Amino acid sequence: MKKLALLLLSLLAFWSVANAQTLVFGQSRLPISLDTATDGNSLTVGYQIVENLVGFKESSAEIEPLLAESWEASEDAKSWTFHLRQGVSFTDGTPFNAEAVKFNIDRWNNQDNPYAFAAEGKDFTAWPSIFTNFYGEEGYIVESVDVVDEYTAQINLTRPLGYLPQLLAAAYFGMHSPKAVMESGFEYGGPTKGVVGTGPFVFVEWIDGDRLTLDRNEDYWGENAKVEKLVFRGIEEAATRLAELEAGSIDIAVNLSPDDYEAVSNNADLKVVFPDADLRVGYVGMHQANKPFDDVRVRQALAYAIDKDAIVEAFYGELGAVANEFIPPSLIGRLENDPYPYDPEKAKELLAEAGYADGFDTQFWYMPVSRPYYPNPKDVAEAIASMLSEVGINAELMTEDWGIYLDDYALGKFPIYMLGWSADFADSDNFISPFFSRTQGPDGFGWNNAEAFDLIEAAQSAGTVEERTAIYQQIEQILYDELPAMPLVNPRSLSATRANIEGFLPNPLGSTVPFRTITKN
Amino acid sequence: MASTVGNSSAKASKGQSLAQDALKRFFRNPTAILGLSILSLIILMTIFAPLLRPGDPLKSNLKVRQLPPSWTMSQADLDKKKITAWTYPFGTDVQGRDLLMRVLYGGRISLRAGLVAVIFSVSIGMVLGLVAGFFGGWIDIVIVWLVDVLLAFPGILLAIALASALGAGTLSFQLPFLPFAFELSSIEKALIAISITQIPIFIRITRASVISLRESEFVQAAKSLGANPRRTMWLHVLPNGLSPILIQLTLSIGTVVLDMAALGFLGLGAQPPAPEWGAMISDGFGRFRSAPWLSIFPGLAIFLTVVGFNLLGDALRDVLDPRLKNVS
Repeated sequence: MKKLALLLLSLLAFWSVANAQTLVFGQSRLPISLDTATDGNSLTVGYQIVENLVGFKESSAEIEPLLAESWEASEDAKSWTFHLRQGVSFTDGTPFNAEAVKFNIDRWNNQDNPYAFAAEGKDFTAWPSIFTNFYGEEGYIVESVDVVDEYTAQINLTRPLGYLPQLLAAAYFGMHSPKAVMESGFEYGGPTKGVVGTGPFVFVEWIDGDRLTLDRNEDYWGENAKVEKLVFRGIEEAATRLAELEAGSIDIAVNLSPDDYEAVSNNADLKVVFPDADLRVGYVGMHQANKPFDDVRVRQALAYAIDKDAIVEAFYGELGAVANEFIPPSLIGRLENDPYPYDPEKAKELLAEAGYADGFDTQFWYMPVSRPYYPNPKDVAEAIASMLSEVGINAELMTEDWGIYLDDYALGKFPIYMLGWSADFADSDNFISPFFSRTQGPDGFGWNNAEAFDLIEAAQSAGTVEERTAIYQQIEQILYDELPAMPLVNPRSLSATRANIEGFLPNPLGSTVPFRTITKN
Repeated sequence: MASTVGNSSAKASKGQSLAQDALKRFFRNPTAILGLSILSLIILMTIFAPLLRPGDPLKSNLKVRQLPPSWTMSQADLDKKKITAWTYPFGTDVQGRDLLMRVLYGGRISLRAGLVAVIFSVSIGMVLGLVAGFFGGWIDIVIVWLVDVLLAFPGILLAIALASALGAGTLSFQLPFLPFAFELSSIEKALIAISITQIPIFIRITRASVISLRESEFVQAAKSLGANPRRTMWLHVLPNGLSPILIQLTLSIGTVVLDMAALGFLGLGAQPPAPEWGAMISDGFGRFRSAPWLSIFPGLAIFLTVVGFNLLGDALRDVLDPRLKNVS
């Protein structure tokens, strides 16, 4: 009996010591994969382990050197040289050098690369969404990577790109250990293998459906992380995340419901955290492979039928603003024109013109998880469905597992669906190409507008800010008229920490939050 | 001829029919009266829901979202929303829908589900149980084996597994040789899943009472008078074995209502915006501290319905079990 008590006591002591240096982070889900997934929950974890060539300044969308110390473009901006940080190693001992950079970019860029594992089913969708396409396919941008010397890599492009460093700062493009990728094969990035990078934390364990644990990298090339252990937990409901935060079983909770803003502010044990301006948009997609959404009048009718002001006021309050266009405030190329007003009568007229005077039946898919752009997706979906029923659009509400959802929307299975976007980098291109480019538009929206496709490519290689602004405005006008998707909200995501947590600075870009600087007192 | 023998043996010795006797005792039983009144009240209220709370239970009204029961609100708050103390007796939900209206309409889903699922499972379960118990032999072995397999899983787990297997949303399928396609809504799929979990219970109960009746004098008498087995089974054995089935039926409706709510809570049954009680609790669950009324009222509705059916079931057992005849 005494022994047992002693054991319990020592366990308790151990627990409290361990606890003091363990930071528990509550997000809405555990990652899908740490290698090629593109959702924020996966990227936030990966960003602590692998590092990009280019990083972001603290709580800012401005870039700064990370694994590359400096870079310069050739005169025509078709060739970029990156000078790498020296003496950095991956945590498996592999040196970080130009060969490693080439290995990573080749594997992302080329579907035929044996380490892309494309044949086994890995699909790095982030690459074409940011670099137009994979190597050799229509419109591809990255031609090759040359190893100039041990610490100099040169990236050659098919056409000028003035903001390549911004693109490489996106959370997707962390540098993975070539040795680890080769050894782990297809399972690299999954729960059994994890990932190996140069970052301030090291992958330890991933128990699917429960938690993912990282340890501090004691040999980090920069200043070591403040906390010893980092635990990520997937807690689906925003309210449950808040409850756990209040109970102290997690230290940081992200993507809380705007409903809880007051409750969090009034709680002395907690601190409210949100970025100054979020680069995010929540939208309602309409996939034109599904009749009658191939008819622009039907898509416009939907925009007239939805009372955006009422929805944003009810479900976001101070933490959101109605979005009229895809490019968020603070970026170039916005139209700033009037939104589609809430006008159910106009919606009915348009439906009648399109031959649906009596309305029609369809499906409205809502996300099963809360994301920063839609903290309470089901509530917004129900409100929209109710508004649509007023004009005769009878939308059955549907949802499915998040991983499958992200595949299915791009397959055109959803007539109307909710989705959103948190910027990868602070450029208008990131709110246009990932949706409406030649390669992405047909997937997400069944959208096929050659004029827009050409303009998007022109904007990417245009030289001056004025030129790019003008082109983006033209694109936005087409999007406004053709309405492949209806932007709904520019939200500010609400996070909260326990009062003893310092240094958690959300980034306007969402997933690129470094945990290295967080302290737990 | 044979039926006369059967009936006379089943009749109560005091010269009253079994049914008359049971009815009389039923109305003398306080539990029965209580159960019956609760249920009649709930059933009447759900039937007359459109008269009691006119309006559309699915329509959002974001201007009045998440209001507490209006009789708890201050006059100033009431004036601000331009409502009176009795506009929303149960409050409003996240979408600004009248919670009382949704609870009333939700009763239609739950009660209908309970009734349909139980009728479905009792009709299959009773026939299988009757056949197994009466004929015995290899049919009995096969059926009992099937029952054991089904009962090996806890009912609700089996229902969850079946409902997930059937998937979300409307399921369309075509049977061979039929010109039309079947469509199953999420609620109907949940219903099928729950019904299947109830079938083995009815098989077991029917089989048990059939086996005990099979050897009783009046059945033997019918057999010896030359009645064929089918006639004996349907006319002599079944009617006399009905009372345990009837009791289980009542209790099962309560279980089904509860299981349906559980599936709805897990997002497997009714899909939004359907006002299903379990789904409503699930909606309110995350907001329990700031808006407890969202889950309390649908929870009370489930509670009362299940209690009503359980009281009724208990009372029926007291009334119909001949061994308990003189106890009350």
